[in-house]
Amino acid sequence: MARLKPERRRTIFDWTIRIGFAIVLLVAWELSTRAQSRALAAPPSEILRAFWELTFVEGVIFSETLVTARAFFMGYGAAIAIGLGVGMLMGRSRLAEYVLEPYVTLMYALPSIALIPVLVIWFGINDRIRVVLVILASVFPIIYNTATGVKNVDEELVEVGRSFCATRRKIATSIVLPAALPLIFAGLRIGLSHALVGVIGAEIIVVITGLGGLVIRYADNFQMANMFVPIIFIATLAVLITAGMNRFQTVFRRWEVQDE
Amino acid sequence: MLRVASVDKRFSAEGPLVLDDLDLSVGQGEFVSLLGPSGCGKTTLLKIVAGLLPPTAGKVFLEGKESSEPSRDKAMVFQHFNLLPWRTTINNVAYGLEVQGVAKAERLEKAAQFLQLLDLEGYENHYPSQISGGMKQRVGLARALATEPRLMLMDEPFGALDALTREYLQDELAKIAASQNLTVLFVTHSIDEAIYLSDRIVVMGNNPGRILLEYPVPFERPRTTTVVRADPRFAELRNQVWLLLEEEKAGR
Repeated sequence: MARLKPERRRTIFDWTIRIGFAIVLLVAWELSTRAQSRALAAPPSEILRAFWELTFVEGVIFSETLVTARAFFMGYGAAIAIGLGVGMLMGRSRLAEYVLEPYVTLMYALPSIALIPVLVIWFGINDRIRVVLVILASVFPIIYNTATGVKNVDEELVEVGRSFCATRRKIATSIVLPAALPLIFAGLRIGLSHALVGVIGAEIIVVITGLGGLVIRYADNFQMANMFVPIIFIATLAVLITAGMNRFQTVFRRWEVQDE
Repeated sequence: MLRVASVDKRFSAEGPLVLDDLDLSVGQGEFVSLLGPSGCGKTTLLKIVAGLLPPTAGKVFLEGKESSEPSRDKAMVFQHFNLLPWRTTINNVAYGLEVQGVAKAERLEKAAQFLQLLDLEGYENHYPSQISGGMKQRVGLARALATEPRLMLMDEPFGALDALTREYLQDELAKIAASQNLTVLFVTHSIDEAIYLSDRIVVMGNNPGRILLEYPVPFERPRTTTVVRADPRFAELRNQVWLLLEEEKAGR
């Protein structure tokens, strides 16, 4: 396998272009919105002021971020536990795979937002709905990829475990799970983005709390500058969680790094 | 030490007979090669002995006791090395010991000792993707040896290596087999390799897989490939085996 190409060193020219482009965008945004009604558009300067206001003066944004993050981690954590368990089962048992596969395929394809009405009927307009939606949004890609990863583990590696008289459990933890890890991580990453859509979708459409709730409340009041603040927080949260996942993944897959 | 008694194998109830009434025995400290064309069932036989495949009929005995499952007395070396890519060299070698419940400090010490035996010092913390094919198979050998099995089962272990590395490892294996007094059942499709390494060569034929003839190898152990090749008896034995295989091929 080839070594990764080292990243080309960035020149001052590259940085100038990058920052210059951002400035051009911001100035264009500022100039095009300044003359418009504040109910329809907000220039960056006002968003900056609103950001300061909501974050450091009023401080509402942090408590709402916590609400969203908590629901996200509860739902995504549960989806990981369920997804790995069911995925391993489907990967190791032909019967389980045969019986469950149609549901997993169907639910994986279904946009989770479509389930909001039925969840409202079952759970009411309730905070729990958000966690349930996160689970439904993210569990199926995790199941699907874990099952595929486990099913495609090289039988020859399993034979190594068997030849040393390893128990089924030892084979599962020491061979099948690590061998399936690349696909499991793919499932976790897809599940992660689905979970983010699920949590924000539930907040905007139903529960009207958390960061999504803030977005829709400000939008309903035509407070355009304020509205962008929770959006910035949502983006930041998503970037941080994704970065955390990538970090986690490199720790687990050190052995793939090719170096002498 | 090892006795295979009237083993038949079919992969399904109506499937063709892959192994037909096979009898084989290997003595303590003996090095026996199973030699035959591809598809003659030699690997299947090895896996049955290892306990990785069940025979359709017949039994496998190890030191008088039936041995149809994998056991600590047997260790296998695989054609494609089958190292665990997420484990470093030393942790691969320690894997068999880990499975058998040996404490961490002890298994690492033992693994280091066997890495040393196979000239792999300094590569303890390399991953399989960072070492050459020949080194990988040395790790595979060390992994099997580290559990100190009474019977080593080797499935064309040098088949995936280039000619030079292969010869080098053959010498190394011959040396280790002699110094550790190993009992080995070795699958190969190379006549030369079988002669270099074994005390006895069991030649198998195709369709169904069965034993055609056995040849004792007249050279003293330990020996090296260079010395064996220079001996006129080498060419003679090689020719005999070759003619037998040709005859078998022409006969069908």
